Amino acid sequence: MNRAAIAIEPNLVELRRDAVAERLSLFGLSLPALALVTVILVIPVGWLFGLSFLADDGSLSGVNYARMLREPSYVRILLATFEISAMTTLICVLLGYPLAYVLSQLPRRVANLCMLGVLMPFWTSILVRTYAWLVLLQRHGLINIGACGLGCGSSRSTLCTTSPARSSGLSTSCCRS
Amino acid sequence: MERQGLPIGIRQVSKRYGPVHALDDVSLDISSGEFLTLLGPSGSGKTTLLMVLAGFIRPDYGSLMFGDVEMIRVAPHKRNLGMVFQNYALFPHLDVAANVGFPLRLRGVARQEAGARVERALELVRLGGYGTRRVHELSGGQRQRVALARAIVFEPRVLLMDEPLSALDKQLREHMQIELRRLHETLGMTTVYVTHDQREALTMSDRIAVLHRGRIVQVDTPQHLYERPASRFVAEFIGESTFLPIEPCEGGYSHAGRNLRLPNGTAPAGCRVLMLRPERLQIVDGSPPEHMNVLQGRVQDVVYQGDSVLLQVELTGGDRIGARCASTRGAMAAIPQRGAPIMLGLSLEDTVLLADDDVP
Repeated sequence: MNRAAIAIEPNLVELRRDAVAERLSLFGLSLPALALVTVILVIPVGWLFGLSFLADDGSLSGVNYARMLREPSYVRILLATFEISAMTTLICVLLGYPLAYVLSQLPRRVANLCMLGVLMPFWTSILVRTYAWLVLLQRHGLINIGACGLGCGSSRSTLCTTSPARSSGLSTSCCRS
Repeated sequence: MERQGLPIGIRQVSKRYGPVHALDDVSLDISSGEFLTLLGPSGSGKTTLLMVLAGFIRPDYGSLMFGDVEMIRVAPHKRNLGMVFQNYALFPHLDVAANVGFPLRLRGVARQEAGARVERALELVRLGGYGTRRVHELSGGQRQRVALARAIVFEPRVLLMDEPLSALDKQLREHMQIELRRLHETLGMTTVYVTHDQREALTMSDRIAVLHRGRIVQVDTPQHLYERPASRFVAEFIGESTFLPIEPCEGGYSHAGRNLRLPNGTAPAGCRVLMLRPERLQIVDGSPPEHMNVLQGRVQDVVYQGDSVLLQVELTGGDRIGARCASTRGAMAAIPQRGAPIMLGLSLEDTVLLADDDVP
């Protein structure tokens, strides 16, 4: 900036300098949090990612990725993962949307109580929740006994290893709204 | 509270957001103890200018003097301003006295003196004895007064207000306008007030600065602004008005073939429209008087509005205008029937010619 420009636009340089200083000091305030995230998240994940490109002898190669595509078990696991997630999503939407709609239409007090009903299992530890599902779905569980009583189930079937069961278990973990 | 307000000098303040000029080279002098209103439609830059005065927005360049001191780079909390926000911004966890006393606590005023000053400020806004109430127990108007008391309790020499009455209903708003005016006269601090309500601006201000697209288009007293607007934009924004096209002719201007008589005999070049305020038109009986411009037409509709009667008139030549008459019995009797011919007189001092383009 030459002197003439400063006279025409008063305080231009000073104000610009203030703006930069302010931005820097705000960035400075976020440094501790940024450092923490870098140390406990960015570095470990980056490290793991880097390792995936190394062969057993430490040389750079894509052998790990090749194995992932070649071995049928990996492929199966990946497919099952996607299958279960898709089903879980579907169940969440089908159960969650009507529930959310009903909750939104209820009087505030009742809605809060019902919301508590939704949140309780969500706060419960995943281990306890999984056992609760087992009580319902196992061979001598409530659902199977009930189904036998109605004459439509076989006393030998085990529901808890079917994939719909896995999905509903996951749904309780995911279905929040 | 007898201190003089500080004069404010704004020089070439500019602020751009991308390609948009929120403030475009704004300069304005506000004298000591003046009540100045920044008026404009939304997006005109009035709030941005107030935020620059308060220090919440840093302009790209410009100068801001409070008295003899350059303030443009000073942090907001060091500018020693009283500020009333649109949403009041009261502390919900403090009672009324603690809210009002907050500025004194920050300034380290001794507790006993602070208590006395809080009580005095509350009395000024007519909330004496409300100190122990909680903010959520108060009505909107009372909260507004608490916010005001908090802004004046430390006797700032400059008071800024950002649409403080916009959340109140009409009656309370009009009451508070008078209250604010009275308070300003008592305290004498330089006050900058932001509003988009032209009536509020006319009621309260010593002077009004009208903003449009980041520029000040006119600064004037309420009366001048209403009667002598500098542009069509100002005329349209303040009060009701209709505009008639005019043509330049020998010795002045004419409308629909009739020469217009002008207040000082001549009008500035480049005018394109005649501004008409509905309440300044008078029904003329018989021969037109000397000191008036006369418009002839036919009554299209007569609308009774309680405090006045609005006539819709189609002029010979096809332009439509509105004229407002008093709703007294005598005045009503003089109004012609729908469809009847009518003559409307416009006195010379109300004959205002304007350029058509709204922004200079």
